[in-house]
Amino acid sequence: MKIFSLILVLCSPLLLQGQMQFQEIKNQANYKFGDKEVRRIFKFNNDGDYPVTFNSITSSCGCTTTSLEKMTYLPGEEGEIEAIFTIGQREGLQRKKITVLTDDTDFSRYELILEVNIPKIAEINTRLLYWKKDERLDPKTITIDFHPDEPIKITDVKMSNESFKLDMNEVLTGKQYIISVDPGTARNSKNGNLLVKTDFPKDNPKIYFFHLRVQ
Amino acid sequence: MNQFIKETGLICLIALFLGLLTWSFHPGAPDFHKIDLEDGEILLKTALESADPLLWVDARSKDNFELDHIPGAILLNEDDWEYLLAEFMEKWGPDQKVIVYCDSRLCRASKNVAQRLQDELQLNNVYTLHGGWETWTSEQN
Repeated sequence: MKIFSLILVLCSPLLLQGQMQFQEIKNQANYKFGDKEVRRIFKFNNDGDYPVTFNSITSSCGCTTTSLEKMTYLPGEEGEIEAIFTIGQREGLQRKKITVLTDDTDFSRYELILEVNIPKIAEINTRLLYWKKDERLDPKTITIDFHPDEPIKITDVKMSNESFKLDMNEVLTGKQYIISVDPGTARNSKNGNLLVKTDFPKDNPKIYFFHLRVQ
Repeated sequence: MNQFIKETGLICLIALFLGLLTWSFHPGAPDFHKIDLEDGEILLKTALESADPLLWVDARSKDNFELDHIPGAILLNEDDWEYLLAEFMEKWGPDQKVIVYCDSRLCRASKNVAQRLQDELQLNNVYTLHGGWETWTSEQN
């Protein structure tokens, strides 16, 4: 009996479970081009026999906000946490952790994951064209490959320094563009910014930034 | 009562003994004195002792940056990547060591920004600050 009590004491932390039962701890969201935000719902219910109050819900990123209808849930009561992830100009796999703290003394901390994969709308070989001190001043190229599912037009190209000469070719309509940049022959230190404006998305067309520098 | 104290003491001793045993012999036991750096991470001390000029990059939100930041740091996050990238390039020099930081050891924003600087600009000298802003502020206090 004593040995049983000892095992029970040593293992007791493993037996603890929270009253709040979340249907999903990890929530994968779909993204389609042009989305400005992604919203996901984390449903839960109070499976225990006493009320539980949420103390705080925090996210690992300022880009993710959460909302909850009310703070205290009675036994048997269901609820949901809505997470809103603002895309901004993020790309690739995004994994945002949401930490939930309750007043449940047995088990008070839950970690929820919101995951969304944001495909790159454009593959660009480089954003920086840089001619080093001893490098020959040969033209360099920027290649822009737009995502095959989303044909995009380049509508405008603006160069801040006219001594760089540009030549843009649309290799595949709406899919691939190559911009050749000639730094000129004068061996002097200079730089410039190149802005490439597209027609996507319609309400706020994306502008790509490139930097050119001759050392 | 005496029996209860003895048994409680015995349980504590056994637990302590098992803990010490695990700490001493478990192959995966953490070394509490060693700081495990992730790929591309740099310690604050190492950064400050570096001979290279440093360019601090703050990958936190604009609000947090405006509240306070490492002196000389510039804001670059993925909320407004294109616009902020232009400002970054105005300050960047090829001999600089770029060190990106976010809130703490747990945030990923500095890793994402550092990765994009490497991928999109082919910059090699890019690091993330171990512990981020939290480490900086605790060192200042």
